[in-house]
Amino acid sequence: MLHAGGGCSARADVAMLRDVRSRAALAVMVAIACPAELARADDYEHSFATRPGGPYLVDGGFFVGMPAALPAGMAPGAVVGVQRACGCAFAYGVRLAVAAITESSEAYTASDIDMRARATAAVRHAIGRGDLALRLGVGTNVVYEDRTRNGGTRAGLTGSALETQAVAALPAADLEAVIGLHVAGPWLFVATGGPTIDVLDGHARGGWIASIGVGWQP
Amino acid sequence: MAAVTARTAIFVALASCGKLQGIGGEAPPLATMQVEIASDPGVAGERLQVALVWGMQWLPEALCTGILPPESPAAAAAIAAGCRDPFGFVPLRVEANVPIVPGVPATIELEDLPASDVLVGDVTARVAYGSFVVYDDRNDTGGLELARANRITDTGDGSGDGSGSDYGTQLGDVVYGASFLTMTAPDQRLAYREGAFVAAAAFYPRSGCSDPPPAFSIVGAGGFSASAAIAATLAGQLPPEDPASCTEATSDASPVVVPVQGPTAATEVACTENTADSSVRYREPTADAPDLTDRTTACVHLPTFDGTTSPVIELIVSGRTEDSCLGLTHYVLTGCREDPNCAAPDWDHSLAPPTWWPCPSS
Repeated sequence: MLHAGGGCSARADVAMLRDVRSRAALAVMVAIACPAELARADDYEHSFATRPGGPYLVDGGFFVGMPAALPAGMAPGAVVGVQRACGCAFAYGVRLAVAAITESSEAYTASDIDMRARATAAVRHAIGRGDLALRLGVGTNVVYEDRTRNGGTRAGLTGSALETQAVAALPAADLEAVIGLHVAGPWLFVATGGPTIDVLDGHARGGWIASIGVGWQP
Repeated sequence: MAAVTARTAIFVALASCGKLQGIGGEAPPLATMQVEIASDPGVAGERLQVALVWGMQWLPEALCTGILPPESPAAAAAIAAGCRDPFGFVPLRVEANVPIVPGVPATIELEDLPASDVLVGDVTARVAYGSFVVYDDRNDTGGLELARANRITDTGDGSGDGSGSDYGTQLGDVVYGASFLTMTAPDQRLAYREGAFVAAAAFYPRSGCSDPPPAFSIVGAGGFSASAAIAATLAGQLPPEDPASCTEATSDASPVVVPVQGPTAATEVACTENTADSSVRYREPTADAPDLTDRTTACVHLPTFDGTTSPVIELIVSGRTEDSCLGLTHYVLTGCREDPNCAAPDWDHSLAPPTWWPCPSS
């Protein structure tokens, strides 16, 4: 019996040990899979706390989009914008993007600088830390173009036969989906993207634009 | 504030008036030349055209340089029948073709720069020369097709039908004249220069004339005699031109007048070459005799420039009288394709030459 009783005690120890191991494994799995949940449960006042912002949002970042007046390529650049929320579902503002690109054909190399000025209006909706919006921008693409005849310098061309410059303002509009994510304090991560259109030589041209950047909502 | 507003207004006005052209649209030519034919060849049904032909840097083979005197009358006859003018313009590629009417200047426009293969020199100093060739487009292809010498093929049939590795072609057009036919006659040529100019390259030299200006230009020279050129070459110099005969103008300044030299003299300007470095492709004598009809042959020693006489004797064979272009075919009893003195000959028939072999074994 003693031997048997000793054996029963040993089985109980083993069972308890297995139970402890199971709980530890479960805790580790939960900690790995749901760290945010654990953190929120443990300490609600974490270091990434946000606070309700004011009506103004200033944002800026990297921009890439269809060249305003060239048939190919994607023009990289920068964008800044300011927006004022009007109620909780509507916002308006202005934006300015500057992008540059150089493209070549067999005969020409053209370097364009596009300045995209837009007046915007957006419908928005806040979900937790996020702000979702659909933004319509209308304005102009001011394009500075420097066009060089390939081989012209080597051929001895001069003047307008070698190089021409032109500036033009093209009517343009964008429709962008906007995602703003409140990260910490007044700071947001902002990503946008959508179709764009401009009118060049009487013909509408379509393409895509996108941006990623940082917003500040004091 | 008012000034800023005014500037903004001016900017907007300018912006509105700008014409963006992008990378499309019609491109202006990089160079424009006017060409005129001196007289009407007067052939019924002629379709006269003028071609811009870029020249190649070409060195004649040793037998054809004119430096070595022929060792026999037969050799002189074969060289005369098979060697082109060593100072002549050798075409590399036809760049453009346009119709031309006697008395009316024709316009040739170049949309592209000369390709690197027609430029002689490195990227810091290179030049290309072109000749304006007036021809009758007899084969109605709309362009001038360059021909090659009709050398006997390896199959020995002598037909020049392209079955060998060194085929010949007949010129399908009739060439009447060229603005740059040879350096031993007055010429006008299209020059294209990039970077510096290195006269020592000796590419159709115009020693005594000023360097061709950068980019496109029309330059000319009075020409030098063959004897003066050989003497200068042996002295390690370039044959001098008479400075008074040198001309230089922009490519579009005035028409280049192409003289009518006639097909006999001018056809060679449409004959290109397989090799440019004076190298010779030697052939193995076949067991059966090649067709030597209407060809001039001679047995000559392998040419040397050191004053000695080579023990190797080769058979040289000219083209046919009806061929458009001149060229020599070389046979040796022993040797390799590139060198009859090679250490390990690819063939050796010295002990048993073919029955038709007309030359001594050595």
